[in-house]
Amino acid sequence: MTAQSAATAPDELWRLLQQCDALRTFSEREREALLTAIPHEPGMGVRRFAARELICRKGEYELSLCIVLEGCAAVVNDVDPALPPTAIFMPGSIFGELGAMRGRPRSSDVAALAPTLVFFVPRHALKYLEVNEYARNLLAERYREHAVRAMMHQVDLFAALPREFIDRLIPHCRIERHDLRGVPVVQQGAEGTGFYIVLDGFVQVVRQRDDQQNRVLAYLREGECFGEMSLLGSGFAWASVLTAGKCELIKIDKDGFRELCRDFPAVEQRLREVIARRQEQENRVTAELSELLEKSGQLGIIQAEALLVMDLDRCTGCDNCVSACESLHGRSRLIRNGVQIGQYLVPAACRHCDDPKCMNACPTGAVRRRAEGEIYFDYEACIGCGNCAIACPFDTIMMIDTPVFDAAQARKSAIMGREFFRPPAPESREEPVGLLGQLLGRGRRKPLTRPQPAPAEATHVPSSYPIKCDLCDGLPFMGCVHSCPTGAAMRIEAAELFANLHVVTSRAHVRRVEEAG
Amino acid sequence: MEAQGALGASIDAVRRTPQGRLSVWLAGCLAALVAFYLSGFRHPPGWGSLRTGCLTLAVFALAALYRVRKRWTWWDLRTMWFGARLPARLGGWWRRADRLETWRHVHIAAGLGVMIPLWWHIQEGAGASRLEIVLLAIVGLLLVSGVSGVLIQDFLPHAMRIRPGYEVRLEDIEGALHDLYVEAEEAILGRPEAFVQTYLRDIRPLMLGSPRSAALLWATLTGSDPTTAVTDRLAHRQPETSDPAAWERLTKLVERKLRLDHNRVNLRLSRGWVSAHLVLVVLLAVLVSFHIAGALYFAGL
Repeated sequence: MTAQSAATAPDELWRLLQQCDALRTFSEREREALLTAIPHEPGMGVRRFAARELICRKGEYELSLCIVLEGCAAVVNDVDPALPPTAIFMPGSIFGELGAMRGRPRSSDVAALAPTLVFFVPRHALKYLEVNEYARNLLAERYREHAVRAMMHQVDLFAALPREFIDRLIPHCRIERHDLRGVPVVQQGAEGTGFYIVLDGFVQVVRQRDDQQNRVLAYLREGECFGEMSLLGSGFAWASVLTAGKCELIKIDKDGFRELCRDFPAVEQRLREVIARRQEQENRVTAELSELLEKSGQLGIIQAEALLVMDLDRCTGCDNCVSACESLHGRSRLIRNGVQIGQYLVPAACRHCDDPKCMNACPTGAVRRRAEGEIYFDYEACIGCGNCAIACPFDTIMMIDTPVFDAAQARKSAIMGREFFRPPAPESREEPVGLLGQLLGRGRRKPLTRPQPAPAEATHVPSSYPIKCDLCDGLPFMGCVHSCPTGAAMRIEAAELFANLHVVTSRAHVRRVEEAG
Repeated sequence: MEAQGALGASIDAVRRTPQGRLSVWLAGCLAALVAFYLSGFRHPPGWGSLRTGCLTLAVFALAALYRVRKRWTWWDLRTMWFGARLPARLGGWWRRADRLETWRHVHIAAGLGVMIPLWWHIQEGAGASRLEIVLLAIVGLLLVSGVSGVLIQDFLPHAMRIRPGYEVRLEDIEGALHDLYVEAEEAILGRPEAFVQTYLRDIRPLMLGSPRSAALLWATLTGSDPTTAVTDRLAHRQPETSDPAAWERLTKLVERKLRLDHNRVNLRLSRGWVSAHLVLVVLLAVLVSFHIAGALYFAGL
């Protein structure tokens, strides 16, 4: 995308913004707050796109709400752009609410059909819109409809069903949000009140057996469903379902869903297959496995998308993984100690969680996620508040003093050299290197230090910066894994770790350059 | 252990590199070396001591590259830089080949393989001076330390892991020992005088002292549990007036302390042999340079 920021006068901008329903009822004070925030909030503002230019790309984690101000945009087919667009956004239209409100990647490609002005409201600045009750409700309603519709297309259970089914299903859906772990959604033995689909996060299925032992049977993630047994079976829940962290669920009311099952018998047939699989799973889960699953859930291992695992039967304790990390990044982002599951050690290093608390806690949107799933810091937007480090439940983010940070970045820059594997950021400065550096082929390197603000803006330099594992972003390998002499270290998605146990399904989209070939 | 087995299988499925034991590789290399020796294969007839010497030096250098690759990131990045410019398929192969694991295998093969040109070089030589005898002794010691290192790295991690309550990092052990001592001192607060006296006589010295490293090393080699004898002895020394639960708790603390001491010895062994190996490498490098300088001075090219 080569979009340019477009400077627009506040009055003119407000005139254009008022085309959007959500902003029509803004009071004078709310309007002032929104317009004043624009220059101060990173990522918030107007961008101009040329005709046929992509505004957002499918799979990218650009968590901004977009309001079309001028021109026209459309959802284009990512496989064949020549196909007619599936949705057109005229001035005043909103798109991107799934990313902005739920932190999920873009679900489709959106391109400008003509020269288009788009107002971007990043996730952390949504508060300026949601302060207005009408706008809040409108966004929530749009989010509900879009989220449900997008999810229904992904759920295996409803695959190949006519569009009419989803249209009839949507009025029966509502979204439930849970922020804490261990909140019961369904209680074993209680009368079923609805059918659930996990929209985001994880839930844990626990069943109390006849011998009064509780067994964790599985973790369900987005796109998986539960509650079917109480609707099609005895009417009572067969197992309890608890939240495994922050999650969002789509609840379909019991009567509406039963009615749809009557009209679309294929759904009921598939649900019966799901029920059979669940009951079979109960026999497969031993007490030991249940304990392992419970522990993994408590420690947040289940939701890890790129877990660093060390096989302690092979680790000789040489600390070469730590040294490699330090060599590459100037400061190690890995501590070779942490949680042990059997013979495997999960050291303290970023796990690139499915639901990253650090990203949600960042007030400036400096914690970002690439389409491949890596979570990284945008140091341009970072104000050094340390909220991410506080929010991380696994203590994998360290705050380091600015001089130490600068030295570490300079070290990384010195090692990686100029345009080594990925072109450097255009903002970085050129700096000459010594004779030795030139002999070693570095040329004029571009250090990866903080971008230097213009003198007029140089008002605040944070006293510390966060660092964490970024899966050696920019390099074609992960230092720790690549430098392990015994093959003890590896990166793995939690779902892959539990693949043979059939208790967590995989999403598997995180970068795995080691195996990529 | 069924779940652990399943986890292991999942990890093996993700790990794309061969996971055979290093000692098997070592045994294979040794067997190949012996077979080569027995076959009586000789170097080309025209090769004198200079060429065989150069070949020996080159193979030594190949073995030493492992250390360079291991500790010098610049080298690794340059290798990757080259790999990034290869066609995708070849680049992937290059990247996998550059893993430190592969380098370790090459290191072992080269370390043993150097015996072949060395053997040729000795046969070409005109008798051994004292320097050459020392040089050969160092090479022998280097070989022994290398083979020991392979065995240590192959079997010690498992031997450590199967003992309960061990620490993964050497630097965490001191803190863990301190915590144990504090816990033991707190456990006797408010106990009868006889109990305290018994603690001071029988347990505190164990908590403050360290068992002999040789004994712990022997326990590692034989696979025995170094805590059994001590805990049996403490069980017989329990004061009659005491609270059995408190004594048992103290005994458990002593047991954990001994395990940590054992763990520390094992971790030091795991890293310590590398230091010995490196010292021998440095000695060898110095002696080889003397040997080359001497040969050039007295015999010339």
